[in-house]
Amino acid sequence: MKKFLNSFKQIVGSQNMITDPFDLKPLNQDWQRFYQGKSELAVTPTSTKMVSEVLQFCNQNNIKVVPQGGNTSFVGGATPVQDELILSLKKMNNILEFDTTTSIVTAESGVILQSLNDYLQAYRYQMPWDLGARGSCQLGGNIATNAGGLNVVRNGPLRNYVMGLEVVLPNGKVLNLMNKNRKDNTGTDLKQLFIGSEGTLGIITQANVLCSPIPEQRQVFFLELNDFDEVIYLLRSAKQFEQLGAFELMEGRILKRCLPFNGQLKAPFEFKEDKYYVLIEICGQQIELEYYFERLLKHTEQIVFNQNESELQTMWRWRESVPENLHKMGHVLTYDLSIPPDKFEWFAEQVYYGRKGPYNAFYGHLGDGNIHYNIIFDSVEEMHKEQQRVEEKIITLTKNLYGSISAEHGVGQLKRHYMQVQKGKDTFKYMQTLKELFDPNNILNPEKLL
Amino acid sequence: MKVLVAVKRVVDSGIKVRVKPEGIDLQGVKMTINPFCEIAVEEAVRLKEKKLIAEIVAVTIGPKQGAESLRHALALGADKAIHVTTEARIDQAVQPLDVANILAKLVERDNYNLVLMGKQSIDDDFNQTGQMLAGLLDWPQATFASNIQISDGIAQVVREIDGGLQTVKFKLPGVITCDLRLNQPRFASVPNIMKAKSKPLETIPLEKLGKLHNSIQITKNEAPAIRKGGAIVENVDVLLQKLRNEAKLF
Repeated sequence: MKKFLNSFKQIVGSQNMITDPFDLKPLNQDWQRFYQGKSELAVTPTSTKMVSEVLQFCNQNNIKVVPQGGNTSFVGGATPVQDELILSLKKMNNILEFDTTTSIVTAESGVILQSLNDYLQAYRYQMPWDLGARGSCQLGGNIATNAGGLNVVRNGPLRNYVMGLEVVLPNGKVLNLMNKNRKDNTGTDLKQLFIGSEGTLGIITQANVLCSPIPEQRQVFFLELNDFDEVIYLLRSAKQFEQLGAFELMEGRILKRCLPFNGQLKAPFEFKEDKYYVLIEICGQQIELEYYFERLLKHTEQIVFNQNESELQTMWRWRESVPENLHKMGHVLTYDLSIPPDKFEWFAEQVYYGRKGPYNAFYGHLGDGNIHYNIIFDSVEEMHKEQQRVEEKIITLTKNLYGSISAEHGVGQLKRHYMQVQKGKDTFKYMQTLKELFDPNNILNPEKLL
Repeated sequence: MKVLVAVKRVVDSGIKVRVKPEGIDLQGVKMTINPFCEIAVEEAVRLKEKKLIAEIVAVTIGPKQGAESLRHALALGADKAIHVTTEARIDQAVQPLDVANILAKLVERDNYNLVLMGKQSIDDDFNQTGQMLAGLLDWPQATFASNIQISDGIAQVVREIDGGLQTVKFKLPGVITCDLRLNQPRFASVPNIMKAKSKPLETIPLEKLGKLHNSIQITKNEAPAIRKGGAIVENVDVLLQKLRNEAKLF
């Protein structure tokens, strides 16, 4: 990389280059510290033109590039594998405009999700997707990974909300797909290729996103159920609610273990290991509480609901603290799967009969069939010993259920070796062909996804 | 033993308020029980669960919607509720001395052994009502309670004071105002909120118990100044210059 430093200086300017190893350290590793890259240079371009010139240069000189947004990936997708150049979008953080008639926001890809929401709040709008990393994750990264999150059960996938994109291709060419309209039936929708491509086909520099109105009212219910069948029965009822905002499941097994980590946080119940807990959010105009009381009481008497904003945040905090608390409980093998919701319990039983063995628990967006399945080991050795058997079992089970080995977290480095099995030979081959079409020199995010 | 718990209905502290010249804009704003009053209700319920008191009566002063806060208190475990109705603005026109006088009337009418309330409301932060009530009734008082023990008609209260903690003891009846660390109120459950509907709720127009004198007049309402960003200065000379010319300190 040293021989290219001067060239990069000419393209981006030394103020947009990071070479100090101390400053590069956080960029070289993911937030969970599973992956360690060896990059010696990061550039922080401030315009699409600069991104284009960087990529053109890299393509000509066979320099590998890792696009990086908020670096909040769960699968090592945003950090270098070797010494690739890190291309950080963080300085491209302008919100360009918001059209109040179409409710479409135009922004550069380095804008942080929370910042977009803060901006949109004045117009009583919000981003249509939401996830725990909202304070750090960036628009470009969200789109490149087709981020999932908490609102999918209500709004559907991120794909539905991207109206237009500006993408810089690996050869430096700027592809202008910045459509601003809801409807456009003029052939293949190229932008869909880049959504979820995890930075392997092009770098997203700008986007037009369709926003959702901020719900006038939000009400959260936290329910305790006795067994998994009751949970599914509740899900079927809740799916009939027009105002359903979220439907999240947490096993008692996991919530009970979160208690010591959450300090003074007010618990909705005395969590029990053999129970199941569901968070239901209702949002809309004029929430008629009696309507929900009547229908929810048919399932269980164990229901609490928030009386004010602070209690609403507290209830959500129980759900959102699960991922970070998990890692404090031991060494965790964690899987983000899509399988039919009514099969979650059955699935867990297939991996560990009777739910015995190492401590295993699931939680997740039950409303859209996305399960976060976790196995907690006391030692790294135990974890490594079990890993292969468990993963093979999980992949096979998921495939047989026509599910996905990565519902929302993407593939990155972590799940590459599953891809051929997940996709099947033919599909995989077509995906590879597309990659070769856009990136013949394989400079963009190598050793990721495929 | 019978306990009266006074609760005030205030703007939800999690909401961003809009300040108008005449006061906080209450139009369509979410309101809820004052956090310290909720702590008072919770404490009463815990005392009842310990079988130290037999009956909890919650009271609020305010317009029609105030009944929601009473239902919340009933759902947490109060047995009965009293709604003193008035259309006056609770965050401005319903003031401590008037409230204390009204509560005193209710105490005389119903013979409570203990009055619990929040130490202050988060809208006006007066922190006067409990103290004034004790004065009017000529009862002992313990304010800023972070721990309450009751046995054989004696109340022992740990108070949070500037220097640390102070423990006082007095013979009931008395007034205790509740502080943050006293307890963490439970969540209200749906079955309990439904049961609350059939608990007795008495409505009394304010005029039957007292009068609002508006002896404290609000002369100005303004939002706090928007915080300006700080600046890093290069040396002490520049710092002194800014302190003199910009902050106008000397």
